[in-house]
Amino acid sequence: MTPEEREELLAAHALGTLSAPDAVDADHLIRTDPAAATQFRAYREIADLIALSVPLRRADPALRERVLAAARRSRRRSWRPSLSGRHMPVYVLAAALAAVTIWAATLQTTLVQLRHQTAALSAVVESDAKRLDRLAGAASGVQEARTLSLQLNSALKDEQAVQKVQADPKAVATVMEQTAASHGAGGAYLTSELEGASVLVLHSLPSLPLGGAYRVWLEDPLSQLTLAASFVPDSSMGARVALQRDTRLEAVRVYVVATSRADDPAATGPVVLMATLPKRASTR
Amino acid sequence: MAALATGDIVALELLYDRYSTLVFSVSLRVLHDSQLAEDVVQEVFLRLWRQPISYDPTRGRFISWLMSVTRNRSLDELRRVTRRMRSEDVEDDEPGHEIAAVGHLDDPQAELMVAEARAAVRAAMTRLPPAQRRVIELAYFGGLTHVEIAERTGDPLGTVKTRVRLGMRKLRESLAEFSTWESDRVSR
Repeated sequence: MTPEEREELLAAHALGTLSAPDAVDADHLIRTDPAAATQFRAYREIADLIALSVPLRRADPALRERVLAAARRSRRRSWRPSLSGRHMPVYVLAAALAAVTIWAATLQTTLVQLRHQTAALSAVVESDAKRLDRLAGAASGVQEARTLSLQLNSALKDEQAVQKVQADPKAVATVMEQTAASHGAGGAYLTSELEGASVLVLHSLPSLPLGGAYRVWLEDPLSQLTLAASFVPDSSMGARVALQRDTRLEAVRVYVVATSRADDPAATGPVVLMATLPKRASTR
Repeated sequence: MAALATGDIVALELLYDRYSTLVFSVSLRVLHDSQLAEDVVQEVFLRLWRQPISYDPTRGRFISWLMSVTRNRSLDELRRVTRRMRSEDVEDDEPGHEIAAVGHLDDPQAELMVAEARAAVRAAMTRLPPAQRRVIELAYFGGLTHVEIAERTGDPLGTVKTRVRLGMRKLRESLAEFSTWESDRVSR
């Protein structure tokens, strides 16, 4: 890579104009080359200053009161405990302990109920899948039913994998790193040695344009990328994505990429989250 | 920011008075819709109120961080409503008249600092050749990729890439005094 190509890559990445593969290359360069990281940060700061070039417009004066009123209503999370234990009366501690115990018991009951409901739902899905299999075999022109059956079976397997990995107390969790395109998104990559499966648990993903989708790419030690999954977030902009075992082989990094067109395999977009996988999580 | 972290609503009022015009103007430049831009202003300041630690002073200036958050949130909104407009056609078409100052500040030093930075950035952008300024504005305010800019302008992809690089390099040279990382680079 010539100095011009390198500068082109870093300046464009700071501006957010790179396609996903190029952004992955840029992130790799920034991670591995301190000089590139410094150059990128300089361009990033310049990019942020571009905002100052806008002509100034005044917002509705009433907006100020709306913002402040919303702030007053909003009870912000406290980062410091409001009460000190040494000043807390014993009966308050006892009451708090009782409340926590009841809450924990209630939570446990809820979890058990959820497990039962999930098992029941899985049984229904499995039953439907088998019924669709029978329909597919018995009737002519049932390609659609066969496709649906495959989709149901696939969804069932994914859901089972998610549950198993999340239930494994020894599952290794790798926190996803944010990028310039994260906009508050976060999550973790869970790997269960016991179950031989991995799951991405994501939250607060940025909205996608109509027809868009997220893609999960895995990078091997030779920097080769493999498409591992494609998904659309749920209504709360979260997702739980099960990854196939074969595609996780030799993965050293995982990328979550937003694409504008789910139906176009070549569509690319910004890297929203990424993680470097620990050796235990990336090798079998 | 320290006062904000303690939950002091007066601190939020001061920050709002200081930066809301700028936040609104940037969001309006991206969205070209006053109502949507006001929604973004509210989200940005409420985020600041609820999560003041989301700004890390060791990673750059507050104004840079605030502009980055505003731009990203505005682009999210732009994508959500799928109203990608032709930024270059409506550059000065936003409702209302341009005003001279960022806000009615109680801190003349802060006002002067922001005003100086604005003047420098606007001058640097004006000095760019029009083709370079256009691709940078399409990328920054329109959230477009190289490929999308090439499709929009009809220019070859390589030309777009070169214009982005040259434009960014000129901005970096012009605005070196406002970049906290420049001194770091020089000292290495």
